[in-house]
Amino acid sequence: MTGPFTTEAVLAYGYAAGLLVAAAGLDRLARHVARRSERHRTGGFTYRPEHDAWVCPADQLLWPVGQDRHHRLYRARPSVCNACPRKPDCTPSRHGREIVRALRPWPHSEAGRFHRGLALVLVVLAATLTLIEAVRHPAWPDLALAAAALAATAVTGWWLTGHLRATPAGFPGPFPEPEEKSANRDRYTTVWRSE
Amino acid sequence: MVPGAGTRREVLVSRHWIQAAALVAVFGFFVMGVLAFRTYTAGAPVPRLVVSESGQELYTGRDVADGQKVFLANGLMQYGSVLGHGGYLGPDYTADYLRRAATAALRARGGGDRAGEQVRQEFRANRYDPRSGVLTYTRAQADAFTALVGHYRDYFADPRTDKGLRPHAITDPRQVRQLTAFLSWTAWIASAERPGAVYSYTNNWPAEPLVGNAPTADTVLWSVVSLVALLVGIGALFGAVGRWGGHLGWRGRQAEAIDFRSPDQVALTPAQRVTAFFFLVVALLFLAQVLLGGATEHYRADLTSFFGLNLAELLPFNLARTWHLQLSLFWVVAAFLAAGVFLAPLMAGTEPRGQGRLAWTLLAALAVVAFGSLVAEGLSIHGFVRPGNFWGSQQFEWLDLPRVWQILLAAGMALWAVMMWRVLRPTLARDSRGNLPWMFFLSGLAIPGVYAVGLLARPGDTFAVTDFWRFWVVHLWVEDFLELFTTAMVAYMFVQLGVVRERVALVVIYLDIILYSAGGVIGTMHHLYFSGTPVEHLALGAFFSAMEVVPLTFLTVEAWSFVQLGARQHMESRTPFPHRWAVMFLVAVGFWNFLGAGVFGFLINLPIVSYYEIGTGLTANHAHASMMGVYGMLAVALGLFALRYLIPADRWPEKWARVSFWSLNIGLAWMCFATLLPLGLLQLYESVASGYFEARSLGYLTGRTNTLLEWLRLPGDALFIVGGVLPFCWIAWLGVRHRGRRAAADPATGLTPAPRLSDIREPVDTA
Ligand code: HEM
Ligand SMILES: [Fe+2]
Repeated sequence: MTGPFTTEAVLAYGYAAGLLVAAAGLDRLARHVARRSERHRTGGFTYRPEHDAWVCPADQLLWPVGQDRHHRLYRARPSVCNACPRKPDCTPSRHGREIVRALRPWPHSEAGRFHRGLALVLVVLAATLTLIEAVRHPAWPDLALAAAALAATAVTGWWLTGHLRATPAGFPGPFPEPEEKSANRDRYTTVWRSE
Repeated sequence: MVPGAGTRREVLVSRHWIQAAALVAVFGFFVMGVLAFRTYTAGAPVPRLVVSESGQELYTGRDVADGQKVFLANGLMQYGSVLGHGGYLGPDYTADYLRRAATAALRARGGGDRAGEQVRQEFRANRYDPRSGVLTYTRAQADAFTALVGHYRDYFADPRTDKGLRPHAITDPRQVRQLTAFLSWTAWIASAERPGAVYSYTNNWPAEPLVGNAPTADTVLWSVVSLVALLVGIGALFGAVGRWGGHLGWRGRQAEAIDFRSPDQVALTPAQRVTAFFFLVVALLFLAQVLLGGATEHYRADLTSFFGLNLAELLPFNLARTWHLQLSLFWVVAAFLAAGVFLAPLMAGTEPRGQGRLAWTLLAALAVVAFGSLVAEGLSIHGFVRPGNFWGSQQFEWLDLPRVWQILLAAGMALWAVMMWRVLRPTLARDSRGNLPWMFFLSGLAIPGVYAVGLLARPGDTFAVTDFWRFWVVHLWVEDFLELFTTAMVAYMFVQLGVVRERVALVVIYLDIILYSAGGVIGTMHHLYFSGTPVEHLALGAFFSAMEVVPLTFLTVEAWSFVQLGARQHMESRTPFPHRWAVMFLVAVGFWNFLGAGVFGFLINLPIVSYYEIGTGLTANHAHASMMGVYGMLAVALGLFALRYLIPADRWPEKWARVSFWSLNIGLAWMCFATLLPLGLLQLYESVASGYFEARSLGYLTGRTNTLLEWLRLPGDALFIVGGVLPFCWIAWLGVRHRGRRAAADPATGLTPAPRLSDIREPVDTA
């Protein structure tokens, strides 16, 4: 006995609670990995929200040149880049350094989905364990613990399902999404010229 | 750019990387050499002769060696364990013998506190005379030995199968006596104090109050030190990366825009096409392995019947587990070898004549070794083979395959190394020894090399010596060289695809060598805390293996974050990336490296934890999450990468790849979190609270809570097999059915050009 509760109940519901914590941890991992990946593509560059532009390590600006539903493309002037001594470490392109801002570029988008999917597996498991224990020993003070565990599971589940929904796989598909199909390629050129 | 004959390409990274990597490796293996020497000279001694106080001969050193052979040949190391090493269903026979002998001695003295103190002193006193090589047992110890010969005779002659062993497992009285001598010796080194020390040869393992065994001061001290080492190590690494990470050279550079070739445009070399058959074999071995795992698991959930069938007559627990472990190595290794065969021509640009035929030879050799060794193990466990037989019996856990098969397997891998050499020779000749092709080749060579070290473990050698060399394979393989080869191979795949620059890949590989070798080489000793080796094995093992967790944490957070599809790939959709699921499996590898190897490994790594935990459920939890999670997922990733080119684009079963990915991962997570982890935690608690002997008893393992937890994994296992393994088999079958497009060989030179997988494209628009 642990207080008014049986030891087994405390262990079972405690483990279920531990699973929920682990699930929350996985959710954080997903976010963290996404942020690191963002750092890798924009390392050394700073975003200036007031201008919606990036500043590169050589203090040059990258302006927005295009966008679709999930991404925004920025580019520096080719003349500036091609004259820059740090170009080899920066870009292979003759047309100016580009940066794409995506919420999460693939594969990190789908890695996030993977981590969040596994987090939900843990939540399902917590619910399963709680129910099994409650059926095995449906005695009064223990059931209060079961109810608490179940409530916590439901809240965590709801919260993490929301996160999973908000994490698209983001795989750059074989075909453009319909409404963007026509706009896509030329637009860069257009925007570029107007700049 | 094109180097002429005799000139080598410059090394792409700073020489400091090479020097640092060499230094770390040399230091690690120097210390390992010292430890090997100490294992031989300061390990627990095997007496020439054991006598009773009255001078009567009880057993000889030869009996101990022969007894170990009997133990191994009957597959007992895959059922229970000695000195904590082996299977987890049966008892730990060291702890078992010690408990029974001490209880018998206590009873003979009439029980009570005084008797207890006497027994403790008797068992702890070291009556071994190194000059004559004679060990003297007290009267109580000698009587206990005689009594236990009788006990084990009955135990192993049992006609029933309700322990999971085959009926009448061992009946030859001489063998039982030798076996008991072996167990008695392990119990002696577990309780007799080392000369000049206040703890036993095994650092007081197992916990057994009857003989005064409790954790030593070293066990506690080095646990604390290794915990601190881990925290400092992680802090230092993240600090260093934060400060200098920008110089690693993979930050912030824009990736090239790439045109990935559609699999239909990629024409394969003859050997590459043979890998289709490799991967089918891999898939089938995988299937067999998990089905045997199901049988093994069933014993734990319901020991006495297999849905009404007496399975133990044909497939006793220890045989099922032997095959389950062996196959797990075979299919993973086969996938690695096949991936090497597939990647080498990509690196070299061409494939020489005859490579396809060699690939067939390799596959046939592997099939013969796999099949032959499995049959030999079956015959041995069923008692048809003499213990220690060259052809038919070895059966150390993980190094189960009998010696001749072990040699053949090493030879097979050597053949593979020759095949790599044939293809890569021109590339290697042109390139600096510090660059990617050499790293790939050298880390590949290490795989047969390290495996061959396992041949130094012979069934009749002293246990500490066999365990020392055994863990060169079990540990150094998975925790150092396979990690390195994996990194080299994966980095190379990405370089070929154009999503990682070669220089970046090389930096990652050197970083890997340094980080993995810093902890992983000497960290091998975390398996030898209590095997009869001197205390420095424990100290160094604890300290350095804690360092292994550092790269696992770091590389997971970084987990291939340097893989970049070009900026345009995300916005334009002209050439989709063909390896979505191979990359996702690699993401899974990173995840399980962190959770299964890093977290679950460290969970059982501190000496003080291992003291109570070794050989219990948390080891199974770690082993599954890391072996399947890291190397299983990796093998599947390599398979899917090659199969993508072996199957025509319009036949590629994208959906089944996805199903397999999610099922394998969800199934594995369920297995760990529903069953293995909670079961292990409860067992650890039982071990500390009631005793190690109790926690390993069949009575505890088949208790109600345990049984319920064992059944709880069923949904996960079913999903794993049906949703995960079967689709992979199907994809592998499609590979064999289509086998890709054939590239034409150059009739003059006999060289087949290797395909390019991608082309670099400049941004399409012009200003
Ligand atoms: C991918 C990497 C790894 C793999 C594939 C792996 C695999 C395994 C396997 C299969 C075992 C069971 C061996 C046996 O039955 O005798 C084991 C045991 C063990 N592993 Fe790992 N491991 C990995 C990494 C690690 C790491 C990083 C640590 C700790 C820092 C660790 C600590 C341990 C310990 C202490 C044991 C001994 C447990 C016992 O004997 O009861 N492992 N590992
Ligand atoms: Fe290890």
